[in-house]
Amino acid sequence: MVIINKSGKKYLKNCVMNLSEKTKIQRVENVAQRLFEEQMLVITPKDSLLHRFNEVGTYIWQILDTPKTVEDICAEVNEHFEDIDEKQIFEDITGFIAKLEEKKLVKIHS
Amino acid sequence: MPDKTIAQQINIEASKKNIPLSVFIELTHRCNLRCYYCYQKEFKLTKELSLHDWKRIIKELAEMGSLYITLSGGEPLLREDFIGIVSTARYHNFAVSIISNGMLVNESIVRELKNLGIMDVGISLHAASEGLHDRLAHGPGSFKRALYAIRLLVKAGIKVLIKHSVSNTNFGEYNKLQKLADAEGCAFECDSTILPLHKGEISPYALNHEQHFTFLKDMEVGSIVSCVSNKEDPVTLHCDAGRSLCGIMPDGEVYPCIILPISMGNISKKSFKEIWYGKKSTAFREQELRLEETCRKCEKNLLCSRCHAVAFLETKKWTGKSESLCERTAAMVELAQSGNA
Ligand code: SF4
Repeated sequence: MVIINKSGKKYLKNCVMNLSEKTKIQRVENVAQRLFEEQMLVITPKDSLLHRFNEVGTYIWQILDTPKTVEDICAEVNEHFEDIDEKQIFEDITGFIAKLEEKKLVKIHS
Repeated sequence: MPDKTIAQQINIEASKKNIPLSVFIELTHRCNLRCYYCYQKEFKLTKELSLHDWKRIIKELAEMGSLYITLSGGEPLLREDFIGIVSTARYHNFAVSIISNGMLVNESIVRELKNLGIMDVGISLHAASEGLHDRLAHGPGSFKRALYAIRLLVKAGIKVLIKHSVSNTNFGEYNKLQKLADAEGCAFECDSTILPLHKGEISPYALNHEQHFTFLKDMEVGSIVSCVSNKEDPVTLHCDAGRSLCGIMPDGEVYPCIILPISMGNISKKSFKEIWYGKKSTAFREQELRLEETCRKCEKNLLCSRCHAVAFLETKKWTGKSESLCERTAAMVELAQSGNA
C-alpha cells in the first residue's frame, strides 16, 4: 500500500524498508544472470534459486546496472513503456524493489 | 503432480529451442588421485585449451544463452589458470559450479572463489571414513584433505555439495555420508550410475539387483519418474543432452553431454555456434528422437531413467538398451510393485 505524507512524499507501507522517491537502489554484485528469450533470469545467491522477470522487471534490472533512485526508475520505466498506468507505477515498482530486497538482490540506501 | 519449478520450465524451453543452458567443461584430464571407478585413461597432460581459448568460448556461450557452467576434470584445480577461467565465467555472469576432490583447496583459493561469487563446489567422497575413502581414491590423506576443503568452503559461506558415486564396493556409505553432510552443513548428492572402465563392458563396480533395490528404497526415488504419460515414447527415455545440455572436453571437443563421447566438432577449429547448429549436432538430435524399439516398446520403460551415455559406453550404441540400466529399472519396478515407491 502506498501512503503519501503531508509533504507529498510517497512511501510503501508493509515493505521491508520504507521506500521513498529519493531512496537509492543498488544491485548487489556477483549475481548470476542471463537474458533468456528477452526475459531476465536471475539466481539468488542465498539459495541458488532461479527467478524469471517479466518485461518490466527485466528492464528495471537492466537499468539498475548503475544505482538509481526510485524516482529515476519510475521516470525511465514511464518513458520506455507505453500503456503504463502512471498512478500505479510507483506502487508496482516499489513492490518489485521490495521483492528484490527481500531476496537480497538489491541494496537500499535511504 | 506438483507444478514445475521455474528452473524446470526454463530447461524445457531451452531444450525445445536447443539453447545450451547448462555446460559442463572438463578442463583437464590430469588428476592427483586415481579413483577406483574412474573411466579416464589419460591422467597426464594431453592437449588442453588455453585460458585465451576459454575466454573466447565462455563469452560465446554467454551470448548463446548459457547460464550454468560446471568446471570439472580430472582435477580442475591442477590448472594454474583455474581462477582465471572461473573469473571469466563470473565476468560473463555465469552460475559457476566446481567439482573437485578437494586436495588443492586452500584458504587463498577459497577467498578468491568467495569473492568471485561462485554458486557451489562439489567435493567427491567415496566413503565416510578415512580408511575406505583413501583406499578407493588411491591417495593417503585424501579424506582429511577433502574434509579440510569442505570445512574451509562452508566457513567462507560457499555452498558445498558432497558428491558420492554409489557402487558395489562402497555400498551403504551413502547413509553415513548423508549424516556427515548434515553435520558439516553441506548438501548431499549421490548417484548409482557407474560408467564402464572400458568401452563395451559393464563396470565391475555396478550395483546388483538387490543393491539397486535397497538404494532406491533408501533414497525414496520410486516416485520421481511418475510424470510420464506416453508409454510408446516416454520422456524418461530421452534427455537434454545436445539440446539444453552440453559437454566440452579439455582439447575442445564438443559432446552432447560430458559423459557421452560423440563429437559434434572441435571448438579450437570452429565457433561454438557453428558446431551447436551444425550438421553433426542436428543429426544427433534427429536420431535422439528415434531410439531403438527395444527401449520404446519395453514393458518397463515408464520407470526407466535411461541414459544414452551409459548405453553407448556399455554397448557402443547409444540408441539402445544397457544391461546395467535394465537392472536398475527392474529394481525400480519391484519397488513400485512392493508399494514402497
Ligand atoms: S534400458 Fe532396459 S529397462 Fe530401460 S527402456 Fe531400455 S530395455 Fe527397458
